[in-house]
Amino acid sequence: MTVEINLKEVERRAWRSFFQDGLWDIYLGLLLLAMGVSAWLSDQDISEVTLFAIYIPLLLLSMVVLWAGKRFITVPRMGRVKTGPKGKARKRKARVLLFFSVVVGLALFLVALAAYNHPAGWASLIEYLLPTVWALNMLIVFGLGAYFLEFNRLYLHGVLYALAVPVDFLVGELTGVRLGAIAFIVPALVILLVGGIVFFRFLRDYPLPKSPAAGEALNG
Amino acid sequence: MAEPLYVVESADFTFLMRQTGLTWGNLSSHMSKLEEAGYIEVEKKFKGKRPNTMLRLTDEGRAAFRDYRHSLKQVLDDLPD
Repeated sequence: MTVEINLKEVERRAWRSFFQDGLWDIYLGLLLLAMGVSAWLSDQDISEVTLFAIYIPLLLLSMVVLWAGKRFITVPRMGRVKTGPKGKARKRKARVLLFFSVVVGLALFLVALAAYNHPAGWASLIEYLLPTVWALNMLIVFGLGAYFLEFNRLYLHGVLYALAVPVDFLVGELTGVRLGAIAFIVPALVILLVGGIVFFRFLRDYPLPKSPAAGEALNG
Repeated sequence: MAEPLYVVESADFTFLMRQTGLTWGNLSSHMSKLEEAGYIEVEKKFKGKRPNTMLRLTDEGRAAFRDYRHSLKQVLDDLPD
């Protein structure tokens, strides 16, 4: 029995090493930050073309940070691994979740777009519905992601993501001031701070190994 | 030693060092013996210009590890309370 438990622990430790570097946290923080920047730009009444010309490169930049961080910082320190059947099943579940999240996000976007072309009453209903659906989508997707991937910090990130749109909406309703940027940027900075701390702890705990060139190891 | 390789498809030396806590030389020596016994396969590739060695348990190695676990479990179960 003890042997079985240890083996599960080894598998879990190997799996969790994917999230030990804090780069996924930083990526999620940058995504939310990009949304915050685009919300702020949107409040400045700039054209949609300019908005997208800034927003899309920011999204790409966050992907580049994740890719380059994994490639040049994590892998040399942590090593390379191809997961076993359990890891592959987890990845499959995460992909399905992401797919549904994107579908719900896209549906939200289309509904919001349609709402602006409808009478005020309907648009007002949509304004209440959108923050609710957004929050539920984020809580469900991040919550299930955290559970299936055993990536516990995703619970916190899910709450922070979920709060952004409703807080933006509530503050706007209560004060009449557009604070979209703050509603996105503050939680984004919290996620980035968490990611930054995990990242620096990773760098401290996993220095570059002093070793002969990989590939020469077995044959002397 | 073979536990990390048993739960993954394949892994490189750095990953195994991190998981086992062994030094490079020590791990290399263990892996050489496992390779000689036919329990692990060594796949040498290049990632760009950098060499990258991936290690995987062979079917024989997996069977041997299962037998080892089974024997160990029996020994532990047979111990008096």
